[in-house]
Amino acid sequence: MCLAIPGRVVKVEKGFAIVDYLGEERRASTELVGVKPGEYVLVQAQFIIQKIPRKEALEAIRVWQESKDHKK
Amino acid sequence: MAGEQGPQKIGGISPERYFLMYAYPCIRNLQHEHKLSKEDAKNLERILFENKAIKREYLESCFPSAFKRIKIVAEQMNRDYWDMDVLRKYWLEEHNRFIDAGDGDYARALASFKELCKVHKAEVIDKKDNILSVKYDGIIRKVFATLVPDVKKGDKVMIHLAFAIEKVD
Repeated sequence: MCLAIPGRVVKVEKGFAIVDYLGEERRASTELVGVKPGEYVLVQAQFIIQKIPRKEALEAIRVWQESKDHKK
Repeated sequence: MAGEQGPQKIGGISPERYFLMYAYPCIRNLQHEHKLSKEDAKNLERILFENKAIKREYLESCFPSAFKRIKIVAEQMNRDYWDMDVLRKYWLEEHNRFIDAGDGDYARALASFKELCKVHKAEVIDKKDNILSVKYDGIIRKVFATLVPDVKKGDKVMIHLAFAIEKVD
């Protein structure tokens, strides 16, 4: 479930943000939720729909990486 | 609508269309997870917005996980799984229970993500163009009014991910 993985906002421009997913950068609209660089977010259909606390985000990323490594 | 199956229509909505309205916010997610092809994703959106005929078999092949759960609900209710009451029971009640129970991929999902995946009844507190501010359980979220272009401030809507699905009483 890659969409369940939080991304980190690296850059904010007018109307959208650049979101980093473990090295892979994607553009996401900030039309629904305004964000600042460094914040963790969930994105759906290229729209940021929720900010999530850093602690929860890091935990989710850790769990996801473990399950990914496990699959290899 | 011509070509759609089943005699039941409530408020002019067929069971097929009702299912697709609620499943609509998941389309891009499924495509992103490679569970749905780009072609099917586009096709489903076109079917919904251009009021085209919907085949039950096609929906069932695009959303196998949802139908696996709907069939469980139908069995409990002793009804056909395309029965409108079964679909309502699924989307308005049981869908959230399956998420809470960690069914399928939800077992590994983040708490925040599961919350967004749940269907909630919310009040429209503001409307700006195609974006609604909605409130439920003290939480304020913004969702698209794409499926409910006529809703007004004060209306109650069901929400799923980034979309308001239908107006309710």
